[in-house]
Amino acid sequence: MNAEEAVHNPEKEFTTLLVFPPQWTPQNPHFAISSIAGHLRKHGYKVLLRDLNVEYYEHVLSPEFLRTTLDKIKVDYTFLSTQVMLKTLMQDQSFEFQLEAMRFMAIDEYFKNIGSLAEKLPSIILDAKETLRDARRFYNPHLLVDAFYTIDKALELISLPYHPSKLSFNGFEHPMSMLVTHSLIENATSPKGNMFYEFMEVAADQLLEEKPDLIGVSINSFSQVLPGLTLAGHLKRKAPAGCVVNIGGNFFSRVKEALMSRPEFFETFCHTLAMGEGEKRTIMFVDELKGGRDLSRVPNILYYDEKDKTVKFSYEDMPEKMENLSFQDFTGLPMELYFTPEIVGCLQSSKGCYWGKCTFCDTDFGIHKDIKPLDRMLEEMRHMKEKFGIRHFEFIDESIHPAYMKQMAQRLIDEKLDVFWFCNGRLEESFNKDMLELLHKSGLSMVLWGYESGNRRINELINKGVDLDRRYDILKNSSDTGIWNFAYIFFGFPTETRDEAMETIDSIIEHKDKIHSYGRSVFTLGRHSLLYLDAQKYGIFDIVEDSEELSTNLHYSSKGGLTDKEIDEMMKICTDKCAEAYEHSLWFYLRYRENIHLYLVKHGKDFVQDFKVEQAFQKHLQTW
Amino acid sequence: MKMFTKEEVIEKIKLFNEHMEEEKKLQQELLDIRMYGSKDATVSASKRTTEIYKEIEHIRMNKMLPIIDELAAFVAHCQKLEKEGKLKKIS
Repeated sequence: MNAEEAVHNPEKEFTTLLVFPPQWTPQNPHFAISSIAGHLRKHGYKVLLRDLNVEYYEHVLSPEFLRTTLDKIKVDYTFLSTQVMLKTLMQDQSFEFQLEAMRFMAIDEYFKNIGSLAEKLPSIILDAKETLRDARRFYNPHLLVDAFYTIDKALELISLPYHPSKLSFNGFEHPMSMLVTHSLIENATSPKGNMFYEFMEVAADQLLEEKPDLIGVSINSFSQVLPGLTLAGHLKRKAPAGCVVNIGGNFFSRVKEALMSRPEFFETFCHTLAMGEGEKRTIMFVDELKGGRDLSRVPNILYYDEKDKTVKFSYEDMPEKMENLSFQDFTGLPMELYFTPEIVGCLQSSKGCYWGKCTFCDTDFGIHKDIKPLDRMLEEMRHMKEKFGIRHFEFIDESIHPAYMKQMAQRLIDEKLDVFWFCNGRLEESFNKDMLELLHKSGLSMVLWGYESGNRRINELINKGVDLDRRYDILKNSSDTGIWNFAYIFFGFPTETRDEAMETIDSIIEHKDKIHSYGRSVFTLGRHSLLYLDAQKYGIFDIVEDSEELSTNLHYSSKGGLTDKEIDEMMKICTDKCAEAYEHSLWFYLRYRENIHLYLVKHGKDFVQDFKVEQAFQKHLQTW
Repeated sequence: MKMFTKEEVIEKIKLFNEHMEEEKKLQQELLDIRMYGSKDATVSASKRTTEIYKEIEHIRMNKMLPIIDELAAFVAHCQKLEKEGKLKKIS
């Protein structure tokens, strides 16, 4: 069924249905669909929203589901134990048997580690979920740590039948699926090894009962690919004539060229695939589907032309200016289901980084720099507070300009908005003591600083543009003001040595009185970064594209520098040394920045900094 | 007593395996049956449960057990021949 065929019934109100599939951390609604919904509704278009991510977690973290899973695993275990014996006798060396053997060992290990807790999981899971949602319990550290542990074990249990696939609270791994079209088709259209298949089949029927004319499936990260495509596959197969299935989000935007040579992707999953920001485009899309249905007139979409069996790209267009964007609208989302006592909403005051010179970064590529007028920004915060009761905000800007931040802080104080927020930041001189005090007074709880490395040579190569000695003064002033300092660090910058990586770890520990928490990651080479464009200068050579056609990863060699194995080792050393140095500080166990923020607002910086998790709960430390 | 080749033994084990998988699927289906809802749904679920139990018993008694019997008899016969020196043990 070609999206350009069939005519919309003018007597029926055109309905757009936006869906957010798993997997994403289910603590807060993602801004993608609420942002587009707000814009469309403001312009008089009917939009329905479904967050299948939070619904999925709610579904699997239920007593009935866990009880059934437990019983099925016991049957599976008995079956597998005989299988392993029989197939060994048969000298079976097939890949399938190897998977069965791995699953058998995983089940065996799980029950050995968890002991009698396994049988209790169905009866305690409701309590664990309630702890995350009830403020009276969420803000009790030991109750929260225990609840996370219960949920971790429950998710491990439900993952076992699909081992080596693994679902956790903040991730989903499916090693059997590659970012190659035929692999995605194979895995997304079969229940075998796909923990989302049956859920999505039922969900697709429910979505289609709403009789939508346009369904948008929002896929923004790798963890959403398999579940999102599983849903899209069901929808494409079952959607009636005239209903268009569109994949949106920013994951597949990066692989436009590869998708253009893969018509089978569209035959299986969608009629169209949208790239870039969706507010302006979706309005044009709806108008076109109501009218002439000429998809070439809708900007920034790939669409499949059934007549000549090719994938076409319409045309590029600028996104809507931030000052013209409507406010987010969460109406229709099950706000009570999110695993948090208070929603932390996402806001964006600017697009593109005002510095834009860090050599490793290419997040600005393809971005049209823009700033939301301050009046509009404050109006949006007021709207979200008054209409949806949201008082906590995370700014997702790469970096907010200090001048803008200062003005916003002053306005928040003057207008008594009484909200709390956190954001990313660069450790630059503008953040003096007065500025930091103003920010904190306005409700700023935490800044996620681009600290990156503790080594001077590496920092100079990164070109952060900050005074490497003064940054500790900024951190101290920030801490003294009551602001929590979170440091982004990473390992594996090309040519970084082991000693240089250790300097990063040692500097964090040395300054732990003012670097209150950190988040570590592994360097990846961005294809539009300065490092890539001038690779040889930075000691990078032999750059090779990933063999998976829908992957954007680049592989390379560098002169000296850490190997992959050494990077993994540094990550582990970092966790172990810092856990000891920070003496099992509470923030390790809060896990997510939103939770740290909520705790900071509730209890204050000193409480979060000084609270040490008791030894009995330290086994719940999740390596991250 | 027929002497089986290695390949024939493996075929019988494979067949036994298939019956095991069949039984496992039925057990999994049993775990998914829900005995609530309308009267018709409950009656239907109860009926299917009884059917599954019968099918599992049929698989075990009429498909899996004969293979075990056959292989057990074969192993016993080989052991007897080995004792009588008519069969060399392959190390």
